[in-house]
Amino acid sequence: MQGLRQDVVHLGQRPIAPVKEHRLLTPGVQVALQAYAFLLPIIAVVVLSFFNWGLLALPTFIGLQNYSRLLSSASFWHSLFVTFYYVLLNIPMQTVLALLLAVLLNQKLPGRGIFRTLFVVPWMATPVAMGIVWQWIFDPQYGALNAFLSVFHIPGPAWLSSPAWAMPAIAAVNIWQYTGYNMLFFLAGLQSIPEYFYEAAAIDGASPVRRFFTITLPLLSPTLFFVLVTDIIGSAQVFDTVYVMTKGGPGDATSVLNFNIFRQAFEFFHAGYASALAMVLFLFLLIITLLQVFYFRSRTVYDLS
Amino acid sequence: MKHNTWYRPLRTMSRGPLSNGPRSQSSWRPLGLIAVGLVVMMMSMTLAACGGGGSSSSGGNGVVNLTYALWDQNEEVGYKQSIAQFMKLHPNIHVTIQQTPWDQYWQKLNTEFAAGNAPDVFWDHQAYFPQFVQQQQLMNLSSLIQQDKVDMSQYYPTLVKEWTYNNNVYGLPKDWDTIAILYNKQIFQKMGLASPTSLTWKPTDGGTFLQLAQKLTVDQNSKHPGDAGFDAKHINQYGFVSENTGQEGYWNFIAMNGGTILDKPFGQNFQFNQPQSVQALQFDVDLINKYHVSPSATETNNNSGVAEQLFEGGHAAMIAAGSWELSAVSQQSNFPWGVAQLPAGSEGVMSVFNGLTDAIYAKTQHPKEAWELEKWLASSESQHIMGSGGYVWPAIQNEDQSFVEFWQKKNIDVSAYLKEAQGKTVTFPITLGYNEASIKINDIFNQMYLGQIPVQQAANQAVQQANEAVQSASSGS
Amino acid sequence: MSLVKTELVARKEATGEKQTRKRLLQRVPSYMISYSILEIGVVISLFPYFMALMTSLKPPDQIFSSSAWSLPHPLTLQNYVNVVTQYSFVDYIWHTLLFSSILTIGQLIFSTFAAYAFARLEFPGRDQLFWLYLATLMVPQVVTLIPLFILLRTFNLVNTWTGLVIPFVLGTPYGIFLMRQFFRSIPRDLEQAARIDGAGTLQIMRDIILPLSRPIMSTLAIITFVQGWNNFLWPLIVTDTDDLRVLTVGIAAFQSNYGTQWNLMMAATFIALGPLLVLFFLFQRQIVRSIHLSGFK
Repeated sequence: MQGLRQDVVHLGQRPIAPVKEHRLLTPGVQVALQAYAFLLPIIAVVVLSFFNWGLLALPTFIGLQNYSRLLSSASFWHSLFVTFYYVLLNIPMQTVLALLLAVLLNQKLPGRGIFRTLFVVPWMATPVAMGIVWQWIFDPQYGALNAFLSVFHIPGPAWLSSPAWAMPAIAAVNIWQYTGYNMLFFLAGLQSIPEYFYEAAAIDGASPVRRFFTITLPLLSPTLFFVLVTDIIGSAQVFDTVYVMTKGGPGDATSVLNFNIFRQAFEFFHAGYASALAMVLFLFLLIITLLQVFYFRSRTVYDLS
Repeated sequence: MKHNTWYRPLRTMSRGPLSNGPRSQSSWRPLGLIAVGLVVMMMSMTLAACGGGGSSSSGGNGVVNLTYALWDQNEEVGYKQSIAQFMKLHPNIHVTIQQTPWDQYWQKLNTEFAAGNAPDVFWDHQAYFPQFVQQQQLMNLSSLIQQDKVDMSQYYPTLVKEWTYNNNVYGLPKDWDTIAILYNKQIFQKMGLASPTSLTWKPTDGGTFLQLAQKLTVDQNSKHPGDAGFDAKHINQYGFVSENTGQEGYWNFIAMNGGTILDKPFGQNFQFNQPQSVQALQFDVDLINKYHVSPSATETNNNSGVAEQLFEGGHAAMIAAGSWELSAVSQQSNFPWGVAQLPAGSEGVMSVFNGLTDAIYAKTQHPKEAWELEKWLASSESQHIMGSGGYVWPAIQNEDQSFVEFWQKKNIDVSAYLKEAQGKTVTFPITLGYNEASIKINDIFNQMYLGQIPVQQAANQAVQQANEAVQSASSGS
Repeated sequence: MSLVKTELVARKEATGEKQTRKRLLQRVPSYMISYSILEIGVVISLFPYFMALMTSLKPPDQIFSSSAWSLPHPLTLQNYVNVVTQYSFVDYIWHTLLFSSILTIGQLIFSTFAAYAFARLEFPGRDQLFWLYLATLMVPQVVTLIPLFILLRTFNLVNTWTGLVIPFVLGTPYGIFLMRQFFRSIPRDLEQAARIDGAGTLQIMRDIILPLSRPIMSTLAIITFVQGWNNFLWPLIVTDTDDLRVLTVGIAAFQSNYGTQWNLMMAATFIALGPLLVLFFLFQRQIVRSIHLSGFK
């Protein structure tokens, strides 16, 4: 009989009676389709990384030359360093702020729905336009930030033109943009922690701070895991903000890896080299993610008893 | 595979596993309706737009569809008129104009080259010409020119030379531009100053140009640079805008001081770290950081159009602008303004002289029709439309008058540009890999203009990195 | 845990009402602190929008003569009018709406199926494949763009709707990740009971999984929609003509080498933002109530 498939239930029991399934609609076929779609461009990139390609002519095979070139390139290592510096500036601050906001909005404050919406609004803007607005804010002479600082008699630096402050400025913009978004995930995680855990602890005499560290954080660890993994991956690939606001400058102070990849591919037309750079970024992200998986695997609390 | 869920959700299911409660169905309904509506909309739009895809194609009735790519939105208005005319004369050819802003134009074009899908005819620029021509993406027009007896003598000879490679021509010149000073007549009148003609500049003391700029620079307490109590952080009006730009900025000064940018066309040695070039760069940077007649580079770095906007807002008395900017400036300024030649250096007045051509994609599917379009855009009829609309100086020497007349009607004398074009000029530096080199130079010069790196050091670094970029490009990287 | 619960209830009853009233009074100062922090957060979140709004309401000549946060002097809506009439922004909105909607529908359909497969079905290499999908998130979009574009060219799909949506319409690994984690939190007993009753995979999905997933799907829908709305690089490269142009590309076109028309760009940004805000208001409660991150590993 065509189109029938045995659906075996893994209960260690005997197989149940066969069920009619439409082959094309099964999730398995789904996955096969997607595997094809997602992996094809990635495979192309991997392959390209071994070629030299100026886009105008056909690619020429050069083996590992792209990789040896990038390993010996000072600007590559600098890029890597700048990217990690950015991730360090960005992620901890963003995570702490998002958690703080989530904790605050987890209370039964009237009007919390409005606050929740307003905090997510930064995430919705077109990166190009918001990057420009932030450029205005950071403008050393006419910008809002330095004007605000001058009220307290603090001389503001040249922000985006200052080698020391350009990267923190970019990090600040991204924190602004994504804190609200991350807050949503934490909020949901918090809301699924039952009240009576806290009440029990309170009765036992635990302070709010202790309750946070012994109950909230552990129970939040699965959420934390998801948020950290996806955030670090996204953050290491920062591009839009740098492209709009500093174009990698001043000098190479904000020359993050993804911006370099873009430059190599679309401004210098070294598509093969850009692919190799992308592969290296991928490798680093893979290692970091695996480290996180191992860290969280042993520490994630599923059950307080 | 571990199957532990970390804890069971407290809200267990209130309804049975297989029951389809009315609540679940009705809560899906509005979403379902929206989804269905969207799918219908999607299908109808797909069917409608399905035909309009791909680059050039032949429609029914033997109509050939050509795509024409450009970046300037202002000039696009003029070109639409010109192309409408063309389509009337050639009813079997339909041209679709694709406009992409400068920043993204080249990314898109090169991606299209990579895919073998570039527009049939497109605006070409000296910065990218070497790469395109070497990689055989441009159609060689020499035989077609001979065949159709196109009169090449009607164009400015420099332009034709610029677009010739290995004795073959790769584009018919359609316009030219030089750089001149735009000045705000209202400010000059108010301050009782004579118009800025016959200015000079010297690396040592800045010449009459600097003197004038200092008189024109005013801070919020009406003080000038050099006065006691002059506050460089609160300037209301700048005398001039000096910024990190080659074509509209330091290339002109370098040439006027006897320096060079590149050793020769398609050369691999940049020369702007030689003494005469460094002097010119120092002068340009000093206008900002030493003499304070120009705004800080924090305002102008990586921001194109700041000079024009300061000028249009009445905050800069003089700027250096290419002739292609005239219509944009005119639209945005509401005060009388004029054009003057650049200040003269030790070599006299020299300006960068450049021009664009339309290139035909080597792999176009409609070479004959593309050539017709090319000929049209390079013809005196089309160039008359562009010149008399005040968009650009036409590449055909006889048509220059139409451009002059357009601006005369607006009371603006643009002959300064023409005088410079007919005088000593310097061409755009072209070489393979120039694009990458110029980006590297730009990054270092950003810091130089900020005053973070001394000029000679910046020039040395820039020359070194630019040479590396150019050499690796030539070695086929 | 139920022992704790009973004890708690017992203690509560013992102490009675006095405790409740005292606790309410104790809450007020902590609410004040919370409110102040939240207000500061809101100001920081919205201040840039305020600046953009001010700019969008100013006539062009006022842009440079005043600071970006100052109020417009003759307040004008002309920028909005210009954006809509002189530039085909209404068309761009439709295009972007269609684009985002197709992506969202595709994501909801295909990622749900795939996520269920990864969460519940057994097939060889299941987990390895899942981690491979996740790994694809670690390769920047910038480099996959070129091979994708060439692929489209080969099938003559450049500058077409199909070409525009194809890389995203089958869902994204992020969506699959999110849904899979959620599915794993659904107790297996439900599905096993259903299977014993003879239900096939599709029936289980329709009757059990989907009703439970409504909130997480709302979340995924909003995330996908917003990402599609703000997608820039891909539509830029793939579309050539105005009849396919999306909002982000349209807004970027206000930047030219003469200087950006800030007032128009900001007006266009708000026009682009409007539909997103509306959508978010409509769905926000579901989203927050629902991101049930139980089962995340």
